[in-house]
Formats: sequence, C-alpha cells, structure tokens
Amino acid sequence: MRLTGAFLLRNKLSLAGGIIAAAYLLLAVIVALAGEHMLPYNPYAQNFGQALLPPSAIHLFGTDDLGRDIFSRVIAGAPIDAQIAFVVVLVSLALGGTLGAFAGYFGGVIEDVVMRVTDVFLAFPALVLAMAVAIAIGPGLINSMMALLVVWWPWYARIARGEALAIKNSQYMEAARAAGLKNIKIVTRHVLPNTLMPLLVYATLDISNVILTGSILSFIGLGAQPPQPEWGRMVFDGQDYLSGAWWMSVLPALAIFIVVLAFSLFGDGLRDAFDPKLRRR
Amino acid sequence: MQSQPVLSVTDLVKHYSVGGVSFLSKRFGRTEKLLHALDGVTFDVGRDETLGVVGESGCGKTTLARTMLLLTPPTSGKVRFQDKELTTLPKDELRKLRPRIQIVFQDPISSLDSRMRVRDIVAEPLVAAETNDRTEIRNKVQAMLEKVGLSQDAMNRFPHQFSGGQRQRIGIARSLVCDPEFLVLDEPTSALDASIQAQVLNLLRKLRKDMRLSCVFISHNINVVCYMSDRIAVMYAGEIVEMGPTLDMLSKPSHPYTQTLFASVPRVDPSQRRANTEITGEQPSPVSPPSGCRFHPRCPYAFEKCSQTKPEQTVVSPNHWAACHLLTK
Amino acid sequence: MAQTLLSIQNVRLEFGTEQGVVHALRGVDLTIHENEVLGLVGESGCGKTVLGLSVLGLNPSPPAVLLEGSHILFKEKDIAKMTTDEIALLRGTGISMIFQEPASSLNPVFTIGDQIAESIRLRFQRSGNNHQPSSSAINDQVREALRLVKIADPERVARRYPHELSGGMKQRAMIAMMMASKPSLLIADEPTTALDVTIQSQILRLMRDLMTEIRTSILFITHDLGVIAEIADRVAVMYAGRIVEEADVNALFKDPLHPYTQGLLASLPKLSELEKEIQQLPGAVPDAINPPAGCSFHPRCKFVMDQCRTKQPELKEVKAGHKVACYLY
Repeated sequence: MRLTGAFLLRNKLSLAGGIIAAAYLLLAVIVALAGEHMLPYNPYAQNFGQALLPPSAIHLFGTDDLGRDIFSRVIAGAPIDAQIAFVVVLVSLALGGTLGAFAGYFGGVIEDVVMRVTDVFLAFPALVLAMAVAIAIGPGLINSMMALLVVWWPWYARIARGEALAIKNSQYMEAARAAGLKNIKIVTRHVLPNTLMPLLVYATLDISNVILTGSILSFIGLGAQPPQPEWGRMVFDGQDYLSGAWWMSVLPALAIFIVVLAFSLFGDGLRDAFDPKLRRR
Repeated sequence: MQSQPVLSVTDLVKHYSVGGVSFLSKRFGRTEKLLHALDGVTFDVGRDETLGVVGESGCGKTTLARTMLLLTPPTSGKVRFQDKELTTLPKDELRKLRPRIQIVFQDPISSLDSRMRVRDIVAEPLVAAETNDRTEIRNKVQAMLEKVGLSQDAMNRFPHQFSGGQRQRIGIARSLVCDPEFLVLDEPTSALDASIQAQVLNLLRKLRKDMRLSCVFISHNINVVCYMSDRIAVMYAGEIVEMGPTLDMLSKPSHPYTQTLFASVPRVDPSQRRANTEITGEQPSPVSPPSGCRFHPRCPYAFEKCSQTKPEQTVVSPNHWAACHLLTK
Repeated sequence: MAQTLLSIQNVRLEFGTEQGVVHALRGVDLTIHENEVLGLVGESGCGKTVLGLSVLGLNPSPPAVLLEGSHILFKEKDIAKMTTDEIALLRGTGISMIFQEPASSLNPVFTIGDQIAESIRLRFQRSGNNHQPSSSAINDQVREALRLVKIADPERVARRYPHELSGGMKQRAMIAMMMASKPSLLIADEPTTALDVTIQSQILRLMRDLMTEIRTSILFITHDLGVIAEIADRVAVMYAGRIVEEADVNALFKDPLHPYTQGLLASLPKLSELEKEIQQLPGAVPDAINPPAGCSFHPRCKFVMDQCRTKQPELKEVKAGHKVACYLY
C-alpha cells in the first residue's frame, strides 16, 4: 500500500493509463446519470440526409449509415461496457473468489469438487465459451453479461484457492485456531481478506479483458442489439462501409483500444507496486 | 505435590507419515515410513510453575508445543487440563476451552495477520469466546496493551509499523487478553536481538507473576530456558531424557546428553573456555531412531545394554530423574 | 608486536533505498593482526555483516556506495580502490569468507569434492601458476582439506551433494573449501548461528585448531557474546555503523567500558547467576536512515551528558589495548 503513490508517479505509462481509465469511468458515470441531454446530438436520432458524413467540425466523428452522430453515440456507449465489466469482475471476484477461498482453506471434498468444476470451465477458451452460452441464452446486453459471468468466475476461484492454500498454515492462522475461533470466523476474519485483497489487483487488470470480450460478443451480434450504441456493435455495423466511411468502424474500435490499453497499463503498474508475486503472470 | 497440576501430559506420541506412499505401493509391500516426532512424553505442570523444555533441532519440542494444545491431533496419549481430558473432548467444547490455554509463537512477523489492526489482532480470543460487548472488548484490549508496555495509539496501527520486539509484545497481549490459566511459549525470544530479548523476558516474568500463569517455556537457548523456568525437561529424539528443578539440573546433570548440552553452551566469560567437549556426530534421523537408548551412538559411556534396552526413569534427587542405564548399574 | 594484516580506516558506506539513504557504516576503524581472531559483535542492523562484505567488495554496488575517504588496506593495497577483477583475485586466495547458511554458498548440483577442487584450482590460477596440478594431486588435496575439518571418511563425503549433508557437515565442507585456498584472512559471518549448540561447539573448536595450524586470522562476526568469549582474542563492539569499543577479550568481559557493552552483557541470562533479574537496556536499535545526532547510543544511555547529544565521540585508547568511543572517558 505504501509504495503505490511514489511508484506510480515514476512509472509514467502506468500513470497515464490510470488517468485515461479514470476519465473513462468518470465519463461513464456522468453519461449514465445525466442521460443524453448533454450530448451534442441525440444518439438515436436518424437523419438520412446527413448519412455517412466524414469527421468535421459539426460531426466530430462523422455520421453513420443512418445519419446518427458517431461522436455522440461513442460517448453514449461509454457506460455500457463499463457497467458490464464492473458487474462481471466484481461478482466473479465476490462469488468465485469466495468459493475458491473456501475450497483452499477447507480442502477435502469441497476443494475437489470446486477444482474439478473450474477445470471444466477453464478447459474452454473464454471467448468460445462465452459465445456458446450467449447463443444458448439468446442475444442481448444482459444476456451477454450472464455469459461473461459464467466464463469469468472460475479464474478467480482458482487464484483465490491458491492464495488460501498459501496462507492456510501461516502462524497467524495457527494463532487464530489457538485462540479458539470457529472455522467460519477464521474464514471471514483472515482467509477472505488475505485472499480477496490481492485479487483486487488482478481484477483491475481484468476489467479491460472483460471490456474487450464483451465488445467482441457484441461485434458478432450476440451482445448489444441495435440501436444501443455499444462500441463493439458499432464496429460491426460499420463493417460494410470500411472502404468508404471508415470512421464508422475505426473510431469506435479506437475507443475500445484506448480504454483497454489504459486499464492494462494501469493494472500493470498497480500489480508491480502491490504484489511482486504477480509480476510473472 | 500438593494440589492437582494445571496440565498433565501422559505418554504423548506424534508420528507423521512420510514418503507419500500411495495405495498401490502399499499393496506391493512398501511400508509407510513414520517420522517419530514425539515418542511418549510425560510431564505435569503445577500452578504458578514454569516448566522449561530444552533441546536441539529435531528433538520434538516444536511438535510438543502444537500437540500439547491439540493444535495438531496426537497419535496417542493423554492431555489433561484442570479436570478435563482434552483428547476425548468433542471439538466444540475443546474450542471453547482454548481461551484458557494459550500460546505465544516464535516469529513476530508471521504470527500476526498483517492486514489487521492491532486492536483486532489482540481482540481475537475475546471474539472467539463470543464476547459481544464492543466496549468490553475495547477496554480489555486497551488494558492488555498497557500491561505489555505499548502505547494506546498502537491500537489502530498495523503490525508492519512496529519493531520485532513490539510485535512480540502484541502477540503476548493477544495470548493473555482472555486471562488464561496456562501459557505455552514456543521460542518467544529466539527471533529477537539480545537487548530486546531481555526486555521481553522480564516482561514475561512480571506478567506470569501478576496473572498467576502456569507455563511451558520451550527454547533451544539454554541460558534463556534456565533463567525462565522452575523445572527443566531435556528432550532428545522425541523423548524426555532428564527432568528436574533448574538449579538441581545445573549442578547435577545426570544424563550424558544433558551433561554435553550444558557443557556446550558458550559461557559469557572467556576465562571459562572449555578445552574439549566429548560430543561427536549429529542428531539421529527421526524416521529411524536408534534402538534402545536413542543417544547411544553418540554417548561416550555407551555399553552393550544401551543399544538393546530402553533405559528407565531413575530418580537422581527429589523430583529429578534421568533415563540412563549408567544410573542403574 | 604482531603484524597488521588488514587495516580498515574510516570506512563509510551508504545504501540508497526507497525509504531514504541507509547509513550502514559511519566511519569504521578496525585493525586485524596476523594470527588472531578478532570478534566483531553487535545486534541486527549495526552494520557488522555489511562491514564483512565490504572487505571483499561484496555489497551489491548499486545501491551500496563506499564513500570517499574509506580505506581497506590489505598487504599494502587498498581494496576500496580496487577494480572488481582485482578483488576477485583476492577472494579465495588472500581473503576468504564463510556465511551463516552454508546451503546458500554451496552449489546444489555439484558434489562437495568438485566444489573444493574448484577452489583449489582457482587458487593455483590466481597465484600465477601456469600449469594446473594433475587431477590426482587435486583429489589428494580435496581429501586433505576434508580431513583437516575432521570429517571422518572424506572419500565418501567428497562424493556427496550438499543436500545429503547435515547443517554441521555442510559448514565443515564450507570451511574446507575456504581453507583449501589457505587464506591469510578468513571472514566468518555468523557461521555457527544456524547450528545446534553441540554442533556449534565442535565447529568453534575446529576453527581455532585450523587457525593455529594454517596460520589464518579470522574476523568472526556474530551477535552472540558467548561465542565471542569462546573464540576471540580481541573484540570490537559495533553499534549503529561504528565501533564503540575494542579490547582484548578478557578485558572486555571483565571490565566493559562503553555503556552499550555493559548493557549488553548485563542483559544476558547467565547460568551462574540465575536468581538475579537481568538488566534490560531501554529502547531499541536506532533507525539506520535517521540515526540520532551525536553519539548514536545517547537515547538509551543512563549516563548521557549534554555533549553526547551533539557530537559523536571518537574511538580513543583509554587503557592499554582498550579503546572506547564515549565521553565518560
């Protein structure tokens, strides 16, 4: 904890990433709360007369095939991926992490069952599994969030179990047992804080992964549905116009790229500052 | 002697199986290897008394600390605390008894959860005893921190903000906050510098007198154990080879190992340099301990009987016995 | 008057760390003569290990910085000014070093015999001998080295790997490796701290015997005053990066002059005086990043005077062969 400030200040890329990530989140919150009133154009307003206009002073990112202002749509779409990413990561951390911590601490049957179940999930590449689930439950933003949750929790379970195993026999755990604490209390007082806190760092890095995967799901049509201005969906929509109106796909794609990169850089710096153990991953 | 001992350990045995012998290899005749960490240890600790346990690496004293408190289940043997037989108690009752039998650990760094504040660390036994009144908890923690010589603002700080000696005081505060009757100290000062060790030892002496504690003090440092204990038990290869009052043990060490051990301790006085110690060799393997008397391969006085029969406990002076065939010759 | 072997003059060394500059050595003056054991004693953080490493330039060089004006003179040459190559030549020939954990200095994938042989071959190379001795000659020397450290059955041990040996055996192997190069000076940093007390007394006796046989001087670094009393001819006491007292071993123990030395001796439990409560030194070792102004011991000293707080006392000879850095004298 102590080293963070000084360290990040020195690691400028990481700091830059952090600033951009923070700006993105701030934007997402503002848009989510204030609604579309503050945007230059209504992201849903179609205007065929203004279709496929290149970026200019009045349409910063140009317009799409339905005449909608892409800049407004990109801004409006900011909260979508952010919300999904946060929900997926937090729930995975909370549920998956706790499950893994229990598995690691209690061992025995619980551990075996949890580990074999996560084995099954982890056998599939994340995207493939997400796609499979999304296809099964149907398209839509909430459904894609479910699909991502299903895919994401096993990682946290696995890592949490490893952390729990590592601390299971430390002297302060022995001291807790020697004090007469009930097992459940030991888990809440010691195991969970010591396994989930280190996971927070991993989770920060992970947000960008979820954003990316979520965008991809939308890109292939399984996530956000029109007219939602989700960035991945927008890239998909602009595919047919790549040679002519490249701004339809490229600019939303750039937005995805910048946000994911920002979180990755920030997460890298955070990881290096907090936990040298994670550096090798 | 007069009253019932506070803690009574009888024939405590702890074996670990090593070698990871699988089910299949057992079928093919491979026998499991056993590590004889403790092989039948018996002693009593009376009220207000401190029993010191001394021995070198591999003698089993650390296993004794854990097994005596049933933090590790013994392979066999009995442990009686006041009027309760701990080995047969149901798990929940044993757990409820724990605030009365506490332990101070060796490592000031890893024995405290670095993510918890001092006040939560010290309050742990109170939480375990299901004390729910937060004011009561806070008061007891405050009182205990004062008793161990830490300032009140220590309550809200984290372990890493303290020195090794202070962390050990926190550990001591934790073990004493529930006013236990019995305390096991497992190398409590071994990780501390000499000048800090003196502070902690004197603190322990004061606390045990004020709180009327019965203790078992385990250490490899013979000077420290003798300073802190009324009686001493010398351990070798999982067994106690000699036990008696401290001064008696020092003036009349009767077991050859005890004699060697005491003679090997460097004296803080260059005029007392010893020319020669008779000892040779190393600690025996705990997986295959020597037959008969376990010390016989290294004993300068060993004779035929020593490798064949285990020696009996022979009384040397009141309350002082040693297990050696030389004494029954 | 014995010949000077190593002369450490005004050595100052700093480490840059994230928390600030650590002043590890703050002007150390020390002399080691031929054929003597100089004990360097102090608690953790006093800089004794750093000093030992400095003699061979083994402190990792960023972040360690040896400050201007530091001199380490060995056989007329200043080690502080040598290049790494020149120092490498010294290591293993003129000066050798053994550490607390022999396991970390022994390569786990080579046999003991191989490692001793390497040390012998290096010595030949560095002494400018162009032709290598034959492998049978080397094997003889390896066996001889192992016999010197009283290892029974040197043939068998030479074929063993480090993990197959016990702690005491590993330390003997280390000593054999170092002695194979017949150094004029052996720096031993806590060589017996990790060993059982019975093994420790064997190793200490061995080191004394070897010293007389090969005519090596030893700089023996430890925190254990008992060990110092056992093995040293002269003693230097270190505190917060400086030498505070230096004397013949008998003089130091019988008549310690510096309040820190007195406090340290009084804080040790002694088998001969168990009834007395040990005197504890208040406070703790000073922060190496912000050492106290003036005499670094002044916050803990019961004789503190005004000048102690402002100006650091010099190390002066106040009795024959007995130096102390304190305004009391």
